[in-house]
Amino acid sequence: MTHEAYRELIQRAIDEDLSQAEQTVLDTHIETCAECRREYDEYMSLAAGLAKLSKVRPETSFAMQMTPELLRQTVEGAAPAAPKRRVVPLWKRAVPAAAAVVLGVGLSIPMTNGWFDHQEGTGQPDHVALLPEKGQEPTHGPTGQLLPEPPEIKPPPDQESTAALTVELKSTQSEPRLIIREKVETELPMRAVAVAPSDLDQVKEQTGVTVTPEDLAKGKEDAPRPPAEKNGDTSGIASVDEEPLPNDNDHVVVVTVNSTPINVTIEGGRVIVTLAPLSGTQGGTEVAVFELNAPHTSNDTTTVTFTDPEGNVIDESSVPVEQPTAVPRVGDAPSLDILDEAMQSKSQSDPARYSYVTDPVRVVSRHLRELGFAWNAQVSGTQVRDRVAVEQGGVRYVVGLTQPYLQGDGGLWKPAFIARALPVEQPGPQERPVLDYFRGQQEAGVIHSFSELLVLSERVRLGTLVVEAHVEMSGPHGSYESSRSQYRFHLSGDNDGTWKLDGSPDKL
Amino acid sequence: MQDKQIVADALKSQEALSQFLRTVEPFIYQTAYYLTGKKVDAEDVTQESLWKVCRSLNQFQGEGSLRGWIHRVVVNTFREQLRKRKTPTVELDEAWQSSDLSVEEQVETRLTEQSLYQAIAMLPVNYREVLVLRHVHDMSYQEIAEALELTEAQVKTRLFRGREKLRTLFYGGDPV
Repeated sequence: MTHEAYRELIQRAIDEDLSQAEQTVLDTHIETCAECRREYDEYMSLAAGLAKLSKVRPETSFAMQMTPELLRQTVEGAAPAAPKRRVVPLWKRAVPAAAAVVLGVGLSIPMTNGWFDHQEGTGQPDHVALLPEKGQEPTHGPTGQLLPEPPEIKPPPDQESTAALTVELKSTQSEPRLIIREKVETELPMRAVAVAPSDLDQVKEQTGVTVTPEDLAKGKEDAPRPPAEKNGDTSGIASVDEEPLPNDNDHVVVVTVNSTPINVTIEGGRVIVTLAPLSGTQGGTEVAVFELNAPHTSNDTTTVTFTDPEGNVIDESSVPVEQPTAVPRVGDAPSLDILDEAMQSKSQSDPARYSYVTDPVRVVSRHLRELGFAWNAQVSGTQVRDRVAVEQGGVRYVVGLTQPYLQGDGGLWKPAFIARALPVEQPGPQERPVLDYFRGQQEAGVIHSFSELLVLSERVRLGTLVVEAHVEMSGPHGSYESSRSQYRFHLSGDNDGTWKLDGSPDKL
Repeated sequence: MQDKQIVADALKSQEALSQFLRTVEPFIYQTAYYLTGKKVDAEDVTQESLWKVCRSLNQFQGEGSLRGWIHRVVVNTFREQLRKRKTPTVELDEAWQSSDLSVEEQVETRLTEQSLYQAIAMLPVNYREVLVLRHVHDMSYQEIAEALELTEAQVKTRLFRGREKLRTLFYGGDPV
């Protein structure tokens, strides 16, 4: 054999394409031929380098930006000729950089979704093998392994992700709604855990799977309201009629590991989730995230109990109850004691877990509920790093943050104040005179322009509002100087519900 | 589930299609990233490929694997981008030698992930395509042949030459 022939064997060895006989020929040769041995070593180092190439991910998901209209047309069979509008990557648009970060969070989509990670020899694509086919008895895995017979088997709710099935599931009170299913590489210690919808970071921390409030909100708008009447499956419910209708906040998020919920009953203030193990999960851990309706209780927490099909308790989670309404209070931000100096140190010693504290947007997302926002409020960055925008119920808020311990990239961010954007189009009764004041100043030429009006504090009954405005003043030689200024306005109310300014505002 | 079934499921609803696209997006991006050697170009190719997959998914007939089909879309999109730009191809060895690094620095940069990334991006396009599918996505000769509409022998030739070029680049020796 020539060197050239051995070289080909080496190349094929990289691809594990050699027969046993060929491998022996090669092994024998490189033992005696220094030149081929050197080449072999070089190729193997190169192959090792190639094998380690990063599985890079785009910073922003284009798939998420593709217009629903286009997707709809495709689904309905009329393949659209061309995109109506090219989606401009977020970072090329005039949006604050951090807004892109928020969208990017939703990107953590199953990467190891089975079929695309096709492994030769495993036969079935992974994520399919995990679930029984429709109509098939789910007690037998593809491996033929016999699993415990669960009582009264209902098909796992996530067999198909068709819209029809999803709607059907939403119409019953106690059916879990699949949010996301993902395979992770690591082994996880638990079988299941329940968390509050406001605490999705917990899911990430415990399983490595990212779920966003947007994921939870998806498909909710068009879901029918759960019926108030009893249904056949909820025999365990103490008295459904006396329970208030579940509202959007009466939910818990359930994470299952290598198992799937087959029955959910609500018993008094407790939720009991029966889990059946999934078969065929070799070579990975299957994590699924569901949303459940939770009973409305006066307690501070809802208890979620996980049992096996025989009714043996596997685990129990206590979930803080979501408050039905959440309107943040403008002014000083609630003190988040967890964001203390110890957390600053932890973020440095264990960045994988606590790095969120160094990102203002993630701090606000993580502590939305504690800050007084609804869990599904939309969080995005602004043009300045220390201010984060939160949209909720059509109102825009701004959370101001500071770095009390360490300045710069590694510093922990702590919310300091919550402000509300003054809606210039539709000002409230107390806001109208404030807006008129700035317009008057502009007309009089005292200021050149004003923008970004923020209500920093409001005492409605006393009629005082502290407002921050970004104003441009005329400077010398036709130039403008812009600044952020704060004003305290005093207002007095008339009997007809209108307010007017009580003197000039104090400039703070 | 067969690939055809996956496609049928993806076409059932907007949500399913959207989820499907989100699932394949990272793989598309990885191919684009290593083919183009530039993040910005990779983003363009990814975006264009997603549109194409979205538009023509209903034409997938189940001949060959779905992932092969998708990677063909990506490779074709990449080739279109090259044609449009008429980017002058920088020859690998030439570009490497013209870098301002001293010999010591070049030794130090050998076979780091970054240097490998740059080196792949400077390989002739034919070699690059095969190498990326083989090593980034761990596709078999046969799968690559299907995706790129080549024979397995052609796949091997290109792959072996590409790797040979990389080896001589990092370790010296006579280029083949």
